[in-house]
Amino acid sequence: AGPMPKHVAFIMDGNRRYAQKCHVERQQGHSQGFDKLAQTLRWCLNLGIREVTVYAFSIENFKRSKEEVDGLMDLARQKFSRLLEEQENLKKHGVCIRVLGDLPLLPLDIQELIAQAVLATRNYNKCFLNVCFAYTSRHEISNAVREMAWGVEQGLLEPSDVSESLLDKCLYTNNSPDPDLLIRTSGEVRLSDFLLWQTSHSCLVFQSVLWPEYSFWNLCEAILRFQMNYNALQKARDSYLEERRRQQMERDQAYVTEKLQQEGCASHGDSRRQRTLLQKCRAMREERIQGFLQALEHKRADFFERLCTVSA
Amino acid sequence: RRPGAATLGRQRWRSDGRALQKLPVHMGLVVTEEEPSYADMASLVVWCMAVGISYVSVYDHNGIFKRNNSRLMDEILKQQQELLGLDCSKYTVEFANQDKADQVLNCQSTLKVLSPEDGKADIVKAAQNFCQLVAQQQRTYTDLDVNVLDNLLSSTNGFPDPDLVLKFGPVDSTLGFLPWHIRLTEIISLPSHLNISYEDFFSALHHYAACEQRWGK
Repeated sequence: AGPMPKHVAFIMDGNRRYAQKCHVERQQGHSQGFDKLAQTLRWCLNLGIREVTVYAFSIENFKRSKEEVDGLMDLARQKFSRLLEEQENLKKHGVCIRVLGDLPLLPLDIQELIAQAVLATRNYNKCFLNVCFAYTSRHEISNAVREMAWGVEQGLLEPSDVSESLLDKCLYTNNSPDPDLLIRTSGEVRLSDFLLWQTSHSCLVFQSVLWPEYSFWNLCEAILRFQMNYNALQKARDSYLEERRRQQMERDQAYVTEKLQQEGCASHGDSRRQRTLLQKCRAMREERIQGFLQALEHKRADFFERLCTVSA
Repeated sequence: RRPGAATLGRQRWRSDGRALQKLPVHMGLVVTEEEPSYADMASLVVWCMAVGISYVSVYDHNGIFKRNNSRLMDEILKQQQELLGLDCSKYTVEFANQDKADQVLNCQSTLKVLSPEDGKADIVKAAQNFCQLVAQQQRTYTDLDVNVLDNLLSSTNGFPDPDLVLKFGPVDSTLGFLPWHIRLTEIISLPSHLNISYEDFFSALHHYAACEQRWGK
């Protein structure tokens, strides 16, 4: 056996084609799809995969017929309500539920259900289910940049604090490691605006099976591919991070050198002075970033808490 | 394996392109193999141009093609002549070194050679620039949405998003290729770019032409 993925992401595609194939209503296809999700989560847990992220509803899906969108929202209402009824089970298995997306786009009552589920399970940590709902990756990335801009406007951040790693921390997925493995079913070979930033070095597996027909064997096949790719991906990731570190170091050095030059020629050649100033700048940046991230965390918790007091 | 200019005129390549139900407007050629081959990549680029693909980008995660850009360009020129019988005196082939974009202009096709710095790093740069404007009170944070950010990116200036990526090599990953831009890109994998044949290339295009896109609907 090889290493197991710690975090698997799914694009659960094929519900409608499955419905067509079986001559049932689309709504049935989506309902079967949900059952398959529940089953797949159990398989993942049995295999020791503790974090799963799924693409449940894209912002693009709002373009579907009113009938279908309403049907999907009803399904969501049903399932989130059920989830809240299962609180004992969630507690027992330590399941932390997160819902990622542009939640204000959703009907208010669904936002409230989501807030309840998220707040009820936020301290559980045995396993994690991230549901992307009213989500697209571009919206997520733009939101992250907007948050950093907000931080600058609030005087919490300097523009030069903006970096890849800070952007990582501003995404909806900031509490999760990048997915090791991304699986898309139904034969489509595209990412459809899902976790574009986070999966840049993930193992991508495209499988032709329709989602409601997904089997344990399909899951094992995908994990096998992950294992076959493991070394190459580790290597690529490591060299990418190394290069990123190197470039950040260069930028910091350049900043420090310039700063010292401004102070006068005498000190800029002094390497000890350089090191001290570098350390100081880094420490100050780290402090700003911590302050900003705390404020961001606060803003997000506030959003959910306010939704819960509305329904109380 | 590689038909020479003697046996096939440029007409054949263009008609191959027209025979397909759809052609990608922007094709990304992504190499995941550790040792890229300039000759084979040049063939691929030239075939893209020959069938009528308007925008072509070349990528490897080590940035080897980008660092050795002129070597790649030399190979491309050589193959253009061999395969398409192009006489350089008749066509303006420009090597433009604009910022980070390296473009070879040939009649109807444009080429960019990309590396990881054109991916996430470009998004970060755009974010920094926007934050700078906010710091100077020329913008407010609510100004930033998907379209604004899209317009701030510069790595693919003038290029539409890739419709199709041909990914070569054993690694099942895009390895950092334009994460923002590939949101709807079809990703077709081929085992290797080494000694790639026109038939394999064309059959991938054929595969692409057959795929249905629902755009979320």
